[in-house]
Amino acid sequence: MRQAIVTKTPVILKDFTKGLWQENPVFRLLIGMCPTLAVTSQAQNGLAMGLATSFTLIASSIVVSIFRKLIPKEVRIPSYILIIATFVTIVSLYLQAKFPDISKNLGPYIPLIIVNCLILGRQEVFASKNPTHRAAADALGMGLGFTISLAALGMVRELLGSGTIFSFKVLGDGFRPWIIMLTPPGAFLSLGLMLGMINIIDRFLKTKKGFFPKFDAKKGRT
Amino acid sequence: MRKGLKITLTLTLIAVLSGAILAEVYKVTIEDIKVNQKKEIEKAIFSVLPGTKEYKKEARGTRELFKCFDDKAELRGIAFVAEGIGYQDIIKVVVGVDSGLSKITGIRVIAHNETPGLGAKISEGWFEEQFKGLSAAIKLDLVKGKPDKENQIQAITGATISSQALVDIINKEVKDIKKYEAGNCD
Repeated sequence: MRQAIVTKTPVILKDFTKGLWQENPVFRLLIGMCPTLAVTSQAQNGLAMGLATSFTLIASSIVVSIFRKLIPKEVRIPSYILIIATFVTIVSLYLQAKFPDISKNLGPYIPLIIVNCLILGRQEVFASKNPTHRAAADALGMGLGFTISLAALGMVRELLGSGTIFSFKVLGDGFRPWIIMLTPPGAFLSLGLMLGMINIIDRFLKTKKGFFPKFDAKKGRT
Repeated sequence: MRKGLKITLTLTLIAVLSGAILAEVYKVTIEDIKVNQKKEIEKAIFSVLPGTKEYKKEARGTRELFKCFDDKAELRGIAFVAEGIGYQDIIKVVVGVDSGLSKITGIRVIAHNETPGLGAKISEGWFEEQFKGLSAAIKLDLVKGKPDKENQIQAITGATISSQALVDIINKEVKDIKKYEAGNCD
């Protein structure tokens, strides 16, 4: 049944949507964890980091895909890194010029986008092997999936750690902030719990057997 | 041999193109970046010494200070950039003191790399507000919980090191500036 649906969807749409759920970089593939854990103490920072990474990913994927036949395979990694670094520097300069506050908040994590394995990974796995329109769709989906995940994680941590979401006060004065949510251990805790939740939802969507299927000793968990 | 040439050419070409593009982007953005940095210090000076109409930059050793004047051209006070090591990087803070160097009129943190969500709160209004009107004659003290004595600053919950660093930086630089001004008058 599921197979039938997949084959009916146009291939470019599938390239785009897989990054949102099935192959969501943060919650399904678990790549690009460094910025995911580091900057999500506030929703706004998570969103900004997601957008900066998306721009770099989309631009690099398009360029790599266009020149995929010209780049010798022996030096493909240094070539990709050069291309990625160029776009990251553009993002960094742009943020410093137009959004100095965000640039200040994200600090060293902007230049570190260069080594985000999500970006290099997409070049190696997808952009270097597929035509430009598919590479662009893939990068767009992956970037959007990454951005949504970081913003969601940022919202959870900001809500529990400061009682606010996007700096708007949500929880009243009676709420005592859980400081741990803003620290690195809090990042791991919230990421782990959200991962677990997403796994449960995913299993439900795949099996339609309910969120907590009964354990069958013969077959194991389905 | 031909393979080697192709590899060299590809990498060289990408590097040259990348350099050219970045040089252009840098040229376009650098003006805004410089303006932002200057604006940041300027905004900080006006906020730490309210009522300032004009300021004059003066060299202080290798560094600088800003003499601030109100609309009647009278000296309102001195603003200066203080800096020192925080929890993980240098903290830069603009400090304002009145013309008699007896009171701190305000502070504004302009650059830091403290932990986001924790130490980074040193640049939040409520924390900076605490320094307003404190005496510059005696040292500032950091306390956990509500201050109950003169010249005490309440530390940020969970970020005592960053709070302490800022207090230390201000204590040191206020002392320095007093020494410098005293030397200047003789």
